[in-house]
Amino acid sequence: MESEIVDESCVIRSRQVTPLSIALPKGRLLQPSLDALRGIGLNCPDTDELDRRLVYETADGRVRFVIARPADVPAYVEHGAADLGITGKDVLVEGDWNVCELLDLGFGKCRMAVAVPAPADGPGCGAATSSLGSPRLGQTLRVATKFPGIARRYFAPRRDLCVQIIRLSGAVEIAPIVGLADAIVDIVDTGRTLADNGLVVVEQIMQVSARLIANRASLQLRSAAIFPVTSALGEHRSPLCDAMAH
Amino acid sequence: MDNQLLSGRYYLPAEALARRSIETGLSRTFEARGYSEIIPPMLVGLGLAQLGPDGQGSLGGTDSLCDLNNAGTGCAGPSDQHLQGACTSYVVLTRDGNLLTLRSDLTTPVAALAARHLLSPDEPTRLYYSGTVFRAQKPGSGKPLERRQVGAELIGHGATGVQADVEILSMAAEGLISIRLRDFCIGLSDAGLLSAILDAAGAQGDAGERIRSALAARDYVLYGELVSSLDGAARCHEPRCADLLKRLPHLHDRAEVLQALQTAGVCEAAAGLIQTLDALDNRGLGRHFRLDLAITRRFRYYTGVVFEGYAPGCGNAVIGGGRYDNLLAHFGASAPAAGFAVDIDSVASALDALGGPAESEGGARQWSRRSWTNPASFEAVRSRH
Repeated sequence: MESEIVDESCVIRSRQVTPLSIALPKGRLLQPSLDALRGIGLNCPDTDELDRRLVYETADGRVRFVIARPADVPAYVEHGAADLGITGKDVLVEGDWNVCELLDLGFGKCRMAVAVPAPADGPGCGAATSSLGSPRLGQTLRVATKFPGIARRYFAPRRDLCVQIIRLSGAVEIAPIVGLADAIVDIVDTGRTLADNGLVVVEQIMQVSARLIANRASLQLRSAAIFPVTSALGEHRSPLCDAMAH
Repeated sequence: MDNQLLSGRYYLPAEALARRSIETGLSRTFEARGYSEIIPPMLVGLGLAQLGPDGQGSLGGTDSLCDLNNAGTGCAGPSDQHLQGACTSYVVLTRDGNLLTLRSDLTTPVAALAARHLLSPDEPTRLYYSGTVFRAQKPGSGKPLERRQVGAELIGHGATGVQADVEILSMAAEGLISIRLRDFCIGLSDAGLLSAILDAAGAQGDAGERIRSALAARDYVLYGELVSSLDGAARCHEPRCADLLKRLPHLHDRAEVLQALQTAGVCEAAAGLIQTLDALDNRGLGRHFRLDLAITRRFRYYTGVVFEGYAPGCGNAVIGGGRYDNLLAHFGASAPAAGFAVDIDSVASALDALGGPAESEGGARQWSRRSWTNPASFEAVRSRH
């Protein structure tokens, strides 16, 4: 007890020095994430700066940005390497992460969907379900995806399908073309990539968007630093969504 | 062909020494307060495992996906979710065909032993233990399958009310202080309080369950959506309660929480919690505690105060526990009980991050990774214990 009081100032000093660390996702979510953070007055680097440096600290030393692959952001946050993080809902659902999901940031909106090759005679959206095949016909539906967990959970209750899931780490759209799979489960934004590869969406699994996540310990211990960011982002969210729509 | 994997968690001498120090420090604190050690079995029946962890964090993802399934295809009932969530224990098949599990928590077997052998009609039983729990984890998550814990339980006659809660909570804090963990913070809530708030806000049955599981998964986005959708349904109820429910995950300032709790139908449930906090203040431990109404522990058996504590330098909780007045009824004895367990690996990494023991005092310098490579210093340390 006694020595604890002596050391208290030292602990407080170290806390002041430690910057609030935010893990940002590389790729399509990076620019809107930076825009959102800039919108609440954080001094963010631009994307060019971040292409060169994967860790960036603001001049006043209060915030540190860490750039990671979107799928890795929750790992940084869960293990406490970052206090906050921004990543897609798809990543959060796919993994079994022990993080707090604080906010729907409203950008990066797209959907997780099942897509199959378009039938030769026009778009077959009407005959959606039947186009996924049936186990009674002795067919196993091979599904290629970057999200095996989501695909498995989505298809598990489907008694009408017999599904084999093939995990890929990118360019899932070509799997049906080369005969690797009969269908894919993937993120669909505008649908152009799918159309270019002759695929059509037959079932929608869920809507996804960018989320603000937090480390559970940080939320308890550094709430004074985190809550201003959270509430400011929450308030800025709505105008931000409008801006995205235009 | 030989499977020579060392797949469990193991500790080489420097780490083992650090763990042993922590465990010894905690044990001493508990013994000084009249707690006796108990060694529960490693293998327990399947029935005990089912009373333990209920779904291991995956709840949120599963739920939100199932919602969509329900909307779209009308499949995925709650039983499916339960099956997916429950697979966290390791099952062992005995030679005579019985199924046993490797214990996934220590509270349940300790409570079972207390109920069977140790309850006294006129005073509570005070027990502490240290040991490993086994929990299946998702491959590649980096979470260990084995976790070392040291914990304490206050069980039986008189282990009830604010006084018992304060005994457990203050011992938890003093235990952590005794092993020189500083700046930790234990969040307090009450399992009954959330129910009271949900009731008062008009979230009954299924809606309440969904809100609860969103909170348990710390998915505040889904939580917010569920609470907003509640607004329309529950017109006649107390508006302040709906407001409290909406702000609940983001209430952290103590005065703010206390003020928010001054709501009809809720303040009665909060009274015990507030008294507990005052008593902790009086013991000079107040700065280590805060109210966090969003705490929902993974274990279903908690009935009263629930808490989990964090320390800088570790993303996982260093301590967790609560009151479980109904658990002993499963073992044929009706008795109140409360307790907690400290996660040794989390404490060790928090101490590492403090850089503390190695710098702050000579006696603990042995914890640094380098020093044990000198056998002489290692021996000197061993002999001191």
